[in-house]
Amino acid sequence: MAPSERSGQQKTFKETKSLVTRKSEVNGIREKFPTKVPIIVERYRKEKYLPILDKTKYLVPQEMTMSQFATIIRNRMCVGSSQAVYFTVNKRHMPSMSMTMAEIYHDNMDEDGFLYMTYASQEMFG
Amino acid sequence: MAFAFGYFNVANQLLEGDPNIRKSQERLNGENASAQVDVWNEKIEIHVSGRTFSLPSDKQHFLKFVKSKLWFTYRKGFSAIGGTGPTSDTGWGCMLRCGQMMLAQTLSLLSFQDEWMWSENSEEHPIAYKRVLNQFKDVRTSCYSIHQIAQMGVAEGKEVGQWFGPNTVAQVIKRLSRFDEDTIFSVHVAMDNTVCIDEIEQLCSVGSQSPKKCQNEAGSSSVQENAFPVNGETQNESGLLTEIFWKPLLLIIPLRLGLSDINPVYFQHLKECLQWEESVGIVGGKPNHAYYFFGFAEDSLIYLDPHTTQPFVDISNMESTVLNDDTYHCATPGKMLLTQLDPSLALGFVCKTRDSFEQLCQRAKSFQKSPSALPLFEVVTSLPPCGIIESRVLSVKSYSREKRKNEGVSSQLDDATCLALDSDDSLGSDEEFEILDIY
Repeated sequence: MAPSERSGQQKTFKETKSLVTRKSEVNGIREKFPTKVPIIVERYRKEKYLPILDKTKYLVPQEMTMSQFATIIRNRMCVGSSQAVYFTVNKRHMPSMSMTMAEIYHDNMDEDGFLYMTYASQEMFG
Repeated sequence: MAFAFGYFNVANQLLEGDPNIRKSQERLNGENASAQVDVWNEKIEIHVSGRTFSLPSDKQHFLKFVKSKLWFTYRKGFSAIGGTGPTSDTGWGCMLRCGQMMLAQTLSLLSFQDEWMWSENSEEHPIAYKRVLNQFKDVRTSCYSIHQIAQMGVAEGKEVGQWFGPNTVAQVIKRLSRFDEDTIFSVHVAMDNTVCIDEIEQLCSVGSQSPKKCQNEAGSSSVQENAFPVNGETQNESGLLTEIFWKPLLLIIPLRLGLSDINPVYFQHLKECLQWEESVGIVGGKPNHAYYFFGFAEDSLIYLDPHTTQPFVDISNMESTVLNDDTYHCATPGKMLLTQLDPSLALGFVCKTRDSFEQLCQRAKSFQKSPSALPLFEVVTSLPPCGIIESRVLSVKSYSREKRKNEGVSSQLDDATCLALDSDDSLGSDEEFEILDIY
């Protein structure tokens, strides 16, 4: 897949909004959708192979598993099943694929109330 | 030796300093080799796929063991890839060579005795060893040659000469194994950090009845037992015993254990995996430089390094008794700290029998989960169905406006938020939530 024209220079979600703004956004949306988990899904800034998603903010059912969510995001990116796509939570670790979004949210929620995920493929070696 | 060590360090720094120089420069054989051997004089325990070498007393045995592994490096002077392509893989082929090393280790384990040690007298080499080596000759006609791997990479979106990732080489090995006429194994690449038992059962079971059907019949209480029938036997619908054979499995699990740096919570289980007797190592490396890791010692990984350009060698054919194979064996393995490991890598395991696959799954299921150690991958019986997903898009902007209109100023959304949301039209889709529902 051709690298996207929009490079990694794009601001991250956190850089575009203050903590207060993000907090009140979560509060508002959680009030209206108490059974859904608010997630920010962003591309790793050095990622060259996977496209940028057209949406950054997701509200997903709390009982949805990480594996189901990963499938949805894979489909959104239109990548084949042999293409490596990895998600990291808080840029640190891979979420367990059998966990529900509510469990992942509970363990890793940011201070603003969003769950942050970053996706990337693999690095290349020469 | 003190001089040799000093020289090695300086040389190493110079080489490390400029990746372009390092890439094109060949290994400084004499001094480098003697300095590297020195590393193995320390008192240390080295673990490799179920074996332990206690150095320094086991040093000679360990180095002989390493030398018995097939070592693939950059080569120059082979026939042009695709007829008009490159005649050398220097500067781009390191991940392809590491994939060859993992595969050669697999074929060796499945073809001849693990205890076999390489000697310079090639007339004593077993025929099975020659057969394995022949599959990696740098010629178009060998099943797993640099030519075949580079050209099959096109199917994975990599032009000949482009760098590969660990998953790329895993996918290419899987594709090439289907063209291997004397194939003695099945290749499965587990995506999304998940090993699915049903998929592997389907791939490796060779018998008159699909094991899945037997499983369903047996009921859920004993699914685990039936997933791995004892003695390779299971009962079919008519009550007759059907023998289910197991085709040896090469399981490759590509992973990404961090973004820019590897997360130390994975170190414990990485070491554990290298210790399992099913391990055929890890393809990975330092950033940009691929290595084939096959063991560890304390907090370091032990590897074979493909970054040495050697001239093409005609190994000779099956009929000949003499092999020119000494450049395919390395006397000096490398050692590096786990902290230097690039987060992109792929684990390799060989399961000769269903029992060994079961053992692997059990070990993976008991991966510890603690603040200092997280599992590397998961084992599931089947993948959950995705369900029907309905997607809606909700604009926060209109939501906040509407809310203000209907309820007055919201107690949840403060004035500053509403103002920011209302005034900033340039953000566009950033303000929209995609709402997912499963039915």
